[in-house]
Amino acid sequence: MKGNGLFDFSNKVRVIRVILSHITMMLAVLVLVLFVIDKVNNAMEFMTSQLSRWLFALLALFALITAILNIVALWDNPDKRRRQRNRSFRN
Amino acid sequence: MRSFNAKKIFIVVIADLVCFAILLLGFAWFHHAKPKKITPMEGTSFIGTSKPMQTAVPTPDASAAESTDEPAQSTPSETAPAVTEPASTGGEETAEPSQAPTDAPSEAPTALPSTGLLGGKYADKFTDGEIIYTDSVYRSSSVCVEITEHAVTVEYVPVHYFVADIYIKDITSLRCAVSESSNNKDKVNELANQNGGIVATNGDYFLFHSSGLAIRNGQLWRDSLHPDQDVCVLYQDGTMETYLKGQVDLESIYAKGPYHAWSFGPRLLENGQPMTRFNTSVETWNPRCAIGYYEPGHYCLVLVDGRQEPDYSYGLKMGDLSKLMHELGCREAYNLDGGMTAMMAYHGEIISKPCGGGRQSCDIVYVAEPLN
Repeated sequence: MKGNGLFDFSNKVRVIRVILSHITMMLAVLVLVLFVIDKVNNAMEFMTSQLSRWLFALLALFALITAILNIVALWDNPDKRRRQRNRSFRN
Repeated sequence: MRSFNAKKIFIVVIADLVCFAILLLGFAWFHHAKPKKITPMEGTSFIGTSKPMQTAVPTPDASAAESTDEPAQSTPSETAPAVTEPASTGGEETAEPSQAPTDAPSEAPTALPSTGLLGGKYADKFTDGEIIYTDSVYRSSSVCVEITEHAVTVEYVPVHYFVADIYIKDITSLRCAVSESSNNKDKVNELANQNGGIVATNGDYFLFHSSGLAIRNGQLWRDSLHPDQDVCVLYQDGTMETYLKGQVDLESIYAKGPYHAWSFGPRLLENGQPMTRFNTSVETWNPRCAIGYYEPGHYCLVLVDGRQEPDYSYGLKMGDLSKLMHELGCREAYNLDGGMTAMMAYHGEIISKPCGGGRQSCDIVYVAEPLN
């Protein structure tokens, strides 16, 4: 499956990066939501329960993987990136 | 080209939102909606001892059921002398029959002996054996409950609250019940009816919290402390103490023989005086439920209706609840679960007006005839 921009799934690593980024984003928003409602009512233990701790660990794991993939992708030299960008524009 | 990308982005955003909603609902389900099967910790009963001892787990419901069958007939002969004679006399009399049949030294009595908590005081609150059960008063030879309803104005807003003034001669008259239904929840009045409760309020909702000290009827359910919650302990000698977070010493609590321990809070009185700063983030107007302590054998349950503006009741701020408990004359007071959970049942019916119709509760605090 090949397409433009967001839906270019030709590269498996790219697909994984996109999916991981979205999962990380959703987990981060969920943690922010829990942070806010925990301030409203801390008796519900939204930030201190066992499940919340697993959520934090999951967020950290996904953030770590996403960050590593981004670093690896950006590791190449600028000329190569420019060539890749030009090639994607032509496609 | 631009409109094409915008459509794609729109689809992605919608997909993200749907996934996020599913994630949020899943978290909510596992966090506080999914029934949790929590049972009393094996071999940790404080009944009849000042420290946890290895014993068979008592079944409060079964023993409570006995009291519902004949609440009036079982108590007058045992507790009537306690009104006129020293409290210890009644206690010794009731202790003997419960301890005599137990041959095995490792077994503890399943119910506390009558200790005559009030020491003969408030004799006019009790009867000689008959039971008086009106719309606002319950009197027997060992229990007195007086319900009063109040409509006041606090800071220009109407507040409606109920006070159950409680006099008991035996600590086993102030009991807790935990729901055994499949979803761990029941209506407060249904739980009270199942256990022979005269008056009942919700408890601290401990089954749906992941931590916090929980002792019910002398049985330890959970021994982990919540880092942000004050703790309230009712001891077997009838005294009640509240502890600020970080100042809870489990060993000393266990050594003094706890009967109930609640973890919700916050503590409402400090040395009998109202407080201005509380260990909670929910200080604004809300429905409230609180337990107060005057002296061993004399307690109160306070239920404040709320979230029913503008005519009926706004609820109380935590500071106002603290002042109320002080005005009632309590020496110690502790806030239990509030909001939609807060409700009071008397005579088998909900007498308060819970906001949104209320919700089911996993545990209740109730007053009943003593176990012995």
